Amino acid sequence: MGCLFTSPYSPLYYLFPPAKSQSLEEQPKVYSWDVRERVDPKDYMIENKQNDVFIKLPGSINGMQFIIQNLENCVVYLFDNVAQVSIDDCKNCKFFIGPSKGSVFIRDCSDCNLATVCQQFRTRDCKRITTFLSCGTQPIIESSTSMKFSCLTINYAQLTEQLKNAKISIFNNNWNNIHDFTPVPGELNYSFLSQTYQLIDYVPLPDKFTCNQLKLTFSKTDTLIPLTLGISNRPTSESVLVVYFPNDSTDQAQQNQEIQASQLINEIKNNYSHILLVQAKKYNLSELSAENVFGTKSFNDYLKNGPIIGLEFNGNDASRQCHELVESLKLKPVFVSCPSSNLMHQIDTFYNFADMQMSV
Amino acid sequence: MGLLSLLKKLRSNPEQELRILLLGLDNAGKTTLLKSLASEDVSHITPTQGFNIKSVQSEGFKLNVWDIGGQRKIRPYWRNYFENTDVLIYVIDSADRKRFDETGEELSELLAEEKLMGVPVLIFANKQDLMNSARASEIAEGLNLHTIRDRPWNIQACSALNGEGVKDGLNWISKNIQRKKK
Amino acid sequence: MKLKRFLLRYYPPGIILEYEQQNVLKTKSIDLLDLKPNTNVQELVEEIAKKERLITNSRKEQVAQLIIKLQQKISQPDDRYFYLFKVLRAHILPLTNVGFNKSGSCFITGSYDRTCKVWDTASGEELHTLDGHRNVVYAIGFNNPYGDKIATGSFDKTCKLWSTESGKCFHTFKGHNSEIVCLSFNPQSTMLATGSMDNSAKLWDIETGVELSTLTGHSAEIISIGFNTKGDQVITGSFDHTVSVWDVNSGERIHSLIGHKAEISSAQFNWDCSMIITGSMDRTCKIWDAGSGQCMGVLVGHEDEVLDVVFDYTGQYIATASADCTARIYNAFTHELISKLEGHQGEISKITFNPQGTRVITASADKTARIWDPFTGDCKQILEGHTDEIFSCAFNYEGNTIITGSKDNTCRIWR
Repeated sequence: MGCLFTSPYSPLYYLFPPAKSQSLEEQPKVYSWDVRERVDPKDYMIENKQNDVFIKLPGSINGMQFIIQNLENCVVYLFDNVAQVSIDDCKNCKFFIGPSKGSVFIRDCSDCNLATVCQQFRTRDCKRITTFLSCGTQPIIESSTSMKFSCLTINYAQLTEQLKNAKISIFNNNWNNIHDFTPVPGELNYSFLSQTYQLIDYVPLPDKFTCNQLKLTFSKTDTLIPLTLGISNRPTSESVLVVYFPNDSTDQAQQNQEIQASQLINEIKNNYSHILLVQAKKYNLSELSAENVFGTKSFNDYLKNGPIIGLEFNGNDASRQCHELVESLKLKPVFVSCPSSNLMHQIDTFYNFADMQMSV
Repeated sequence: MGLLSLLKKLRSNPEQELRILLLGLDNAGKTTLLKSLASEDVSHITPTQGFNIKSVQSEGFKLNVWDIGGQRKIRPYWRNYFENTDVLIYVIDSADRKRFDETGEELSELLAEEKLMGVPVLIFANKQDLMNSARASEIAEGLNLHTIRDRPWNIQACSALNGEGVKDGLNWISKNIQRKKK
Repeated sequence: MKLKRFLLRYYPPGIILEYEQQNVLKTKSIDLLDLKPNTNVQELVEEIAKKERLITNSRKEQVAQLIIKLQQKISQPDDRYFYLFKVLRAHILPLTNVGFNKSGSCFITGSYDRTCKVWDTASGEELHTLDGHRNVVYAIGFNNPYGDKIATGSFDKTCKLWSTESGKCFHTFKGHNSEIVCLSFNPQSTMLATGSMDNSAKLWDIETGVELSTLTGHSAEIISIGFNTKGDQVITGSFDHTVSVWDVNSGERIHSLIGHKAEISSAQFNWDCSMIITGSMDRTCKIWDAGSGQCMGVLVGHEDEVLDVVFDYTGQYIATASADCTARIYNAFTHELISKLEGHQGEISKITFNPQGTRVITASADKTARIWDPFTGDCKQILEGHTDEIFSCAFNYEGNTIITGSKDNTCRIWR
């Protein structure tokens, strides 16, 4: 299939000159990428290096794609928004990758430690990668072995803004829910790190100056992204579900809702060390589903305002403490589950609806 | 959808209804493209573990689009879906230069499939919004698309994320199919 | 003729007589399809004795005891609550159909990953992967009540017969020119029927693996196939808007049931082979007299395509499932609407009674399966957890275990 153009030098041209309107139509369409400013790809690429440290500060990537390839014994920090990141053929490296609007894709790497917050996380042909992760969708691994996962804990000055740009909510982290495309019967290609380890054991902080400049912390107490245990790891049989609703459909209401949820998480973290956050979810709940979760229609009016935020805490006396705290914080509208034989079912239902919402 | 509806979509298509197969490597942006075709939100998309189907109206056609996961492990199952395909859409991550060879090999294998013989192929050079993306012309050259002579083909630059170029690809499909279905 | 012993059949209620005739052991069944917990036992015994010469005076007390046992069984209240027992990451691609063997001790799942897997229900362990098809395994089934064989029909145009015990393939049935999308064993387990997108159905000999006959006459895809209880007739439902009834021995068409205005979605005999129910994309169901092939009634009311339709085990009730997100229960004789099952938020693609007839389960595109009381229309329970559409669901014979198969690549066991 080729196009047959009539050359102006051909005698045919005079016999069949192209009609005017037609020639206008055939002008190639101009797309945004045809007219955008050309950038030097080298500015968005780190490749072929050994024993080196690279730091990209906020504002240096601005949501562009980033490529990392063929590194050995290097440490790379991207403290900025990225569109998508590929990490290829790296050995013995450590990475921090800032909020990625698309995927973080790791291929043919081994013995690396990684911290990242992204919309999608994918690996292929990797060995021994430990990932501290915050991922908006289910992370997937393919043909990868000895993969370890843990919850990302981090904060720095620009992180809130960057998460917003990447459309990532801190209340949706699926680090604990891995899908393995190539399971091996009788073996596990992935496992979860024990809670005793922290990010700093795997990825060092950058130099002091950078840390101060960014107000960077990897600590579990000061993290912006809530530290979650994951649903496979409840320490006690007592759980409680707290759900925040947006009061109206304004941005302000959603912001308040997030602030309230964060406030509760922090209060509990600071005052009740034995009560831990199992998982958080932020999603749009339908009215019928809401009735199933809450056993009442009384929250239905809030659902149309926007997504809800649900938090599951676990620990002895978690239910009573949460009720008291929520009461004292005077935060509304909020639902707090009551202890009952049906509670775990209620919580499962809550997660199930979240999974459905987020698949496809 | 249900199994019965799957069978209905599987049978030889009535006129004005097209069965479109959406293939490409993992992370190429197939599901984003599918959702973009259906004018849905593309900001939270999970990697596809099986397949997704959507019916989209375009230019008087009903397009039944089958989006099949692209992981290497499940590529051998692509052929499950070959039967009665009217158009093959092949999606390429134009910014993933490392895998141009891999995606080229998969495409030429598809084009050699007996069941896809003569099926028009539309190649979306996706992710043009990314800085490292190769232009559609570069990709066409790299993949030797000009050697395709046994079927109508076209390469269309697009960004499934912001929707640019997607409609132009659909227009090409309806033009080329009208000829066939007449 | 000499009566040797009685066998009890709970679902549908019946007494099987094992007797000897000219030194050959034979069986026949006395169906008690309309037995109720309050049926007068003595009257029933007398009625049976009048019709059945094998029931002599000395046997009457035994028969009465059996009837009481059946009554006890059917009067057990059914307020079971089902809990998710196991999630099986069954396949690497979406599931198609699922099915139990008669006892429910194991079940099978078919998948887009071209395999069928055999599972132990109690442990959730995978017993066998039936590997060999070159395309989607779509239609599957056990040769119940025996359960020692499994048939798989594939988009690769072949059907395979497997040993449940060893997972070995006995036969590959080749002959169809397009995807095989439905299959059924005859109740005697000597024959297998397959229906295909090539517009034909075929009957195969299970022992020898040879093709017995090709049933031709439909002008579009055959998507539903089943034997009657006696095993002498086969019914096929087609996208050509008609249903055909075939004589198994001759392969001749006995009836063509014409009347639906759109594709057939499902067709089935009732237990005593007197009636046929058909569901169609024309939003109606029709009830036909199996003997004459005449339409006896039309069930209207659904506002969208009817996607599945079934009789209960006794053949007294009909359940219909529709793309309008509702299901309906009808009396099979009076055609009276008994209840509407409302609540699903997506189309219902599958519906089935438990063998007891006390519950109905529906599988829906809204990612839930629901359990209903067919008589009141109350939703008794919502089975939640699948993250994508549910394509298939099944009860075991005891009615105490459910399996659901989904597009999310998993299978769930509920008990």
